Order: sequence, then C-alpha cells, then structure tokens
Amino acid sequence: MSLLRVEGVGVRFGGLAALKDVSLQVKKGEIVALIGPNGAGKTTLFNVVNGFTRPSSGRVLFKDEDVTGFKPHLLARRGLARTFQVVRPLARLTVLDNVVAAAFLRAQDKGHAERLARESLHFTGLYEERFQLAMGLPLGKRKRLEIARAMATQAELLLLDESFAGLNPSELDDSIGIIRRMSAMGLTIVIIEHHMKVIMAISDRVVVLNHGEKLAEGTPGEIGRDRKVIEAYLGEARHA
Amino acid sequence: MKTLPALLLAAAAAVPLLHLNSYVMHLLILVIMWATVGMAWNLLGGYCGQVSFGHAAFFGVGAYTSGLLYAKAGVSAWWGLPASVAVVGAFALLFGAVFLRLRGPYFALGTLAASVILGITAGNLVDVTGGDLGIMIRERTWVGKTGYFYVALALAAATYAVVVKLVGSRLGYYFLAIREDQDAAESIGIDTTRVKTAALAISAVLTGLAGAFYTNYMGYIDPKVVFALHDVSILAIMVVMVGGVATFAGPVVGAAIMVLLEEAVRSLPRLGAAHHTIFGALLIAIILFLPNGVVGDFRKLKALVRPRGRSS
Repeated sequence: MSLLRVEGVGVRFGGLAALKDVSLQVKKGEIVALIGPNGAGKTTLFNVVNGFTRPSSGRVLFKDEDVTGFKPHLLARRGLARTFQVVRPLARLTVLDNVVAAAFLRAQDKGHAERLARESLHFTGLYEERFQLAMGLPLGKRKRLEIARAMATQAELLLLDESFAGLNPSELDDSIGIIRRMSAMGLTIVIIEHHMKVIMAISDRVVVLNHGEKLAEGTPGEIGRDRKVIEAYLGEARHA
Repeated sequence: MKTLPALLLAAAAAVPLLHLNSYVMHLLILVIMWATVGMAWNLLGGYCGQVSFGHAAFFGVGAYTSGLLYAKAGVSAWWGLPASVAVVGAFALLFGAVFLRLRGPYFALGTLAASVILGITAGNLVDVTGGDLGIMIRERTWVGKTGYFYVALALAAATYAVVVKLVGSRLGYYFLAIREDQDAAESIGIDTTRVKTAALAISAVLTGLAGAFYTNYMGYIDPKVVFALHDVSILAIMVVMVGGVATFAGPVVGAAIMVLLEEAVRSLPRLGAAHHTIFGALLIAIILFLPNGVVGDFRKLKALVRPRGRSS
C-alpha cells in the first residue's frame, strides 16, 4: 500500500518552475532517498508534501486522502512529520521541553507527553542533554533534536531534510543506526541526502531530481550505474 | 516555590489591617492593578511571543463596558466586570482574526494602530461615550480604599492562577513553541492560528477586567486616559520588561517598580514636565543593564549588591 503519493506536482515561484510534473510513491515501511544537485527542488518537494508550499498543479495523497494544500499542523495530526535542513530548534527551551511540545500532539496530559518525549530522547541518544537549552547544543545534536521532535509526534511518515549534512564520521554512523532502528519500528522514511555512503547504506529506493524534474528512480545500485544520473549529479559532485 | 505566592497573597490580604493612609493604599491598588495587566500582557507577549503595543484597546473596551453600563443602562458599573469578559472576549476574537495574520513587528504596529483608532473613535462618538468629556460614576461604592483593594487583589490573584495553570499545560507549551519558531510549531502539529487566538483572547479578557475595575475605582474615564498609548499600552510592556519577561513574578515586581518610580520621579520638586525625561532615562538604564528584567537578572543584581570576593 502506498502511504504517500505525489501526482504531477508542479511549483512555480513567479516565472521560475521549482518543480515540474513530479510524481512518486512511497510504500509503507520503505526508506526512500531523494537526491539531486543543489536547487533541484528537493526541499521544495518536502515543503509541498508537508504543507508549507501550495503546489501550482498536481496533488498529494497521504494514506489515500487528498491533502493538497493542507496546513502543516493538519498533516502532522495525520501522521506526517518533517525535519528542517536549516535546523529550527525552539532555542530558548530545554531539549526536553522541545520534545514535550511535540509529544503533546498525541498525549492526553503532561505526564504522558513527558513519557513520550523521554522515549524519543533515549532513542536519539539525547537523553543526557535533556536539561540543556536547545540553543546550546552543537549542530550534530541539534540535527538529532529535529529527529527526536518529529518522532515524538508519533508520526508514521518522516521527511528528513539533510539530517546528516555537516556531521562528522562518528555522528554519521550514529545517525545511520538511528534511521535503521526507526525503520525497524515500522516508520516510513523519505530522506534528502548528499552522502552517497548514507544513501547506499540505508535506502530501499532512490529518486533523483534535477532542475525540478524527476530524472531517475531505482534501487541504489541501479542509480549508481545510471548514466543520466552520473552526468547530472554524481560525476560532478564526487560524493561517491 | 508554590508556597511563596500563597504567603505573599496572605500578607497582601492583611495589609488593610495596618490602616495605612489612603495615599499609600491608592499606590498599592495601582501596583496590584498594573501587575494584573502586566501578567495578562506577559501571557501573549512574553510566553506566546506576540508583542502587542495596543493593550490599551482591551483595557479601554473593558473600562468603557463598565462606564457605558452605568451611563446608558443605568446599572451599577460593577456589572462591567462580568460583562467585559463577554464584550472584550468577542472583541479580541475579531481583533485576532485581523491582526494575528501579521508576524513580529507587523503585529506590534497593527495593534498599536488599532488602539489609537479606538481611542480616537471613542472620543468622536460623543452620543455614545460622551466624547472627551468622559464618563463620571457619581455613586461611589466605598468611601475608603479597602473594598477596592480587595477587588484588585482578587483579580490579580485569579490572573496569577490562570497564568500558572496555563503555562504548565499543553497550551503553555504551545505558546512557547510559537514564540520560538512558528513554522517549527506548525510542523509539530500546532494550529498556530488557534493557539495565538487563545493567547490573545485570554490576555485581552484579563486586561479588560482590569479596565472595568479601573472605571469603578477611579470613578471617571475618558478616551485619553483608558486608550492611552503611553500610560496604558507602553506601561503594560514596561511592567513586564522591567520585571522579567516570561516569568511568573516579573509583572508583579515590574508593576511595583514602575508605579513607585513614576510616583517618586513625579514628586521631585520643581521639575515640572522634566520628570518624563528622568523617567525615560531610568527606563533606558534598566533595559540596558537588566535586559531580562529584575526577576530574570536577579543573580546579576545580587552580585552587584554583594561585596566582591565571594562569587556564587
């Protein structure tokens, strides 16, 4: 069953077409990587799915419901959460309070919200830092706080926007472990990523965007051999 | 931490037993009333991050609800307190539908403009409001201050309880999330429009109650007084900033400092209008050196007072 269906989505900003007729499906339990050069429209696609940007054409279906143009909070309520490429912590709140605020989406009361928050902090390895202010965290941990917050909403589908950019190799391995465990819990994940190592390690399927259009789609192995992809992206980016 | 406010309330309730002179009682009543307005402003501005420069709109609507019930309907102005809850509440929903679309400084400017427009309108609707002549309440409920003192204290205590209860709740967390980042708040499932409207409505109703009390206490209102930009809207902000933004005790401490400071500066001999200048300079100094307010920067203050050598 497909959890998410994007059908012919186009986004125009003035005269600029940020996305042109993009379609893709994400099945329950999958990890799908979204790759492409800078400016390919990856984050714009996330913004459309998560409700920040209303598409100029096309539709978005989440759990077979047409959610095109729904506000982000309505999508969160239906089980869709995202992280931000440029991290957006609730800076002057503690790490715990950041996650409690998110956990309230499903919690009956404060005690319940705190339990859910603690679980998600343990899961992402931030429990020790729970009483620190979010603004005091180093970047790698702030990226993980984004994941903890998204998880605390008890989402079924997570959109992770470059959650690994700027991490050092050991943090990278930690995060790969976190994604694998989330997937094992039954979460469906769409991830925007530049590190080919990460993509190869975790994704079931890869979708390549270039200049706002879908260039290719396939298993990591297939994408790695695709000439169009190599020309447009891998060849020049040298992340492989 | 929970017993201190209760002890302070008990101590305050015993104050009339001291038979202080009516000038001191008057100042205390003003402090308590401004603490109420400050706590109300703090809910919207300090916790939810929506900085209003127009709380005089709610104070004024509350005050005029009371005044008009007396002048036009011929009932006791005290009915203005319950009535203002409905009137100011409805007004706040309308106000929010227009201005909560705006973010940050645009919201601040929108609220500022709205309160000024309301003040001018109240001045021009001579047939309804009596215009700049204002409304006079001829029958005073109490000759002394004690009765008014207890009403003000009850309002302040209720407001404090509302703030404490809200801040620890789901809604309180949502206020903070919106203050820190509206888009992040949306993406964790917070209906920011609704939550901001709730913050505004609660803040407005509490401010309106203080306004309705003001009418009863002072016995006279006019548009220049209750819709005043400086003496209501700005004062509400200053009470919170000087005391401590997004703290429970901040507005109470801030109200005491502001009311007493203004009174002290005003009573300096042979200054005339120059007391405004001194008052302004003092405020600038407080904002510069205690940006988090007296409560927020309490440690910094303690370190100043304590002799050097031993640091905590």
